[in-house]
Amino acid sequence: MAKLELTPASIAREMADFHARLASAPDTLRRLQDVKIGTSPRDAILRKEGIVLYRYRGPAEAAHTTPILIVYALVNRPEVADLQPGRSLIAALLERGFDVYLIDWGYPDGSDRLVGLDDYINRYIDACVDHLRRCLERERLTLLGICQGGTFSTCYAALHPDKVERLIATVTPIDFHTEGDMLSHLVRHVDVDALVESSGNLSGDFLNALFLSLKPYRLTQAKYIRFLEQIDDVEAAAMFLRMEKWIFDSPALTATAFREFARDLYQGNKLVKGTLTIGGRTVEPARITMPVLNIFARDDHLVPPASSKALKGLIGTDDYTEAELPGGHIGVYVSLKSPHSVPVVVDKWMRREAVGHNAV
Amino acid sequence: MTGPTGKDYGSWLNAWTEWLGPAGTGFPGWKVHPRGAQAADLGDLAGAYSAFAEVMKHFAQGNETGDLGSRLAAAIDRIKAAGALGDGDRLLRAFLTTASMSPFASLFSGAAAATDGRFSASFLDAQSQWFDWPAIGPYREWVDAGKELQEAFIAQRRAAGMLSERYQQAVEVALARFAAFLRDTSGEPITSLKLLYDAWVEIAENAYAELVMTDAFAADFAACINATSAVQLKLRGWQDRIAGLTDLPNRSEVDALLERQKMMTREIESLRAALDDMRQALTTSDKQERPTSKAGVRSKPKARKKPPASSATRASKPAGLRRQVARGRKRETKPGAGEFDIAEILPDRD
Repeated sequence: MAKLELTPASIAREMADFHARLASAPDTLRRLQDVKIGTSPRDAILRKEGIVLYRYRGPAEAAHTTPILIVYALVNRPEVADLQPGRSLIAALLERGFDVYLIDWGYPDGSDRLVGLDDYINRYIDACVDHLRRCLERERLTLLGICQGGTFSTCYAALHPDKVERLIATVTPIDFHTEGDMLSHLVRHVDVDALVESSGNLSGDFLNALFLSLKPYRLTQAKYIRFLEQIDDVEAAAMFLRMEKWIFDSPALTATAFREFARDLYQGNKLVKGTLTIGGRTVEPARITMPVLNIFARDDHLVPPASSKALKGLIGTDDYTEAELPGGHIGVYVSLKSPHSVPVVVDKWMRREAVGHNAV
Repeated sequence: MTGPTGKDYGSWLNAWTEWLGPAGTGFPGWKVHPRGAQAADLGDLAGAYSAFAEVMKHFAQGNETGDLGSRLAAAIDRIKAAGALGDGDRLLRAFLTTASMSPFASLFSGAAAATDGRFSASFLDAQSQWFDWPAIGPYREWVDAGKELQEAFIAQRRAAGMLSERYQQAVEVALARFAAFLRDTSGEPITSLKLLYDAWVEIAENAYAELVMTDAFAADFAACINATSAVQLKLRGWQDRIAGLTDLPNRSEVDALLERQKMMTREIESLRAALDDMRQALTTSDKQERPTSKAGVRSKPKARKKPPASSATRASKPAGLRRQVARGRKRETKPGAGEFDIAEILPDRD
């Protein structure tokens, strides 16, 4: 039997269909115009040097009693947690009665080049936590870290355990030297100091190029072909555009934060080794004695599950829960219809129920 | 190649800028420039997929013997062998290596440029001779700086060439596997162009990922980034020289100011924290002395350790801070401009 059952006629038919979709694309795109993301209503409650702490307004009937502070990564924007109604982690948490706060790191510019991990963790996160502790009259808060924000939250919890009630890490890199970590492998021998000295802040374009180069065929070709295949589905096209808008809205990484994160974590793997110092203090994960929920994505190509799972062996508590969710690094935040989605798992865990799916 | 000559430093600078790329990122794995930003343009999309379709159509209607899979596989083998290529072979090669939207198109065009002479080894060797002797004369400092920049650039081109070869290896492996896949008649047959395209993407992506994960690739990747950094640092030195002539601050001077500002900010925060502690102590002491006084009394959480007063919101408001100090311990801290009192928007939690 032949491997290919294609004829010139069948190929011509497929191409005619493809070109018909291509021809209809401008109409669909014109109808959609510019899509909006991050539309959940919110109020700025604290500003500090370009950093903004937001409180999200939930449904009036919800009993917002448990605050959760979301700490996002410096890479990309936090709107992925609030992409659109029905695909919003933030809205889903609000619907479940949580009082949701988020730190927006803003868009660093050249004047922020010296802002480093000490600033982000010991000044900005700490300022937000203290502000909420004071305003909410609570001694401790629950932190929900996303990706690099999970690493920050982990470091913060280790440095300030008296201020953290619970730690939720989602798709969080902890061990940066696990097998199959392409990003870590790529930067292993890069002279980070020279790169930072020569480039200053790492531009969003540079970061995008780096991430695209991890899966160049899929991310620069195949996904757009797939987009055209679905061009007649206006909602699918709108969703695609929202993702495009989010993924290429890339703030620069400050020179100092990049230098420290790349050198100490990606290259030095110091968090796992117990030699990471931030603001002159050693980050000791064993000081994390509060309950910990660790959520990771099965098909994550940016943060391999093994990297996240390393958290378990480092912390100083047995009150530790793992949840492996289906999907990729981004998919876990936008595929919320699954009974094992991030907000469902968080909700159950916060209510101290078994999270059910692959829980340890 | 037309290039910079003699003491025409402006033309040197223009050449560096051109070589570094308009965005100046110098990123070796992906050329970031305005044209690259059009990668998602629908015309490019159509071009890429149409090129794929044209290749498949060509082989589907070809007169060669064997089924379509075998004919494609044979063409891939001919491309790999770099022998005489037919029309279909050239179409296929164009799609696989230089088609619009190909992640490696710019790299391969760069490799072609090297072969054609623009950045060939012989060209780079010849350029190297330019800085083979010490400069003399009143402008020797400038000349030396220019030479250092060129030397760094040549090293970068060599490193980029090495990395480009790695990427070509990935494509060659992908081609070989694609050919083997097409010859393999086991498994489900491919019944559509899209399925064939998906199979190619899967095979090419896996071949690429395997290559990237080798130590050799990581070393060449880093070498290219590091060489690019070196060029940019030399370029910085050149720009600093020009900045000095026009009384503009250079990078290190701006960094020094930022460093000073950072230290001052930390000091102010530390002083504010100390003031907060003192105010807190005075408030406690005051209450102990006047337990029946109603002035300044406000509700507090029961039997809870009070979180420290935040200095964050007041970091940029020294005037407000002075007023608070002047008012002593009777006043609550008020949020500043652009801030909101959370009590105004939070529901009653009790």
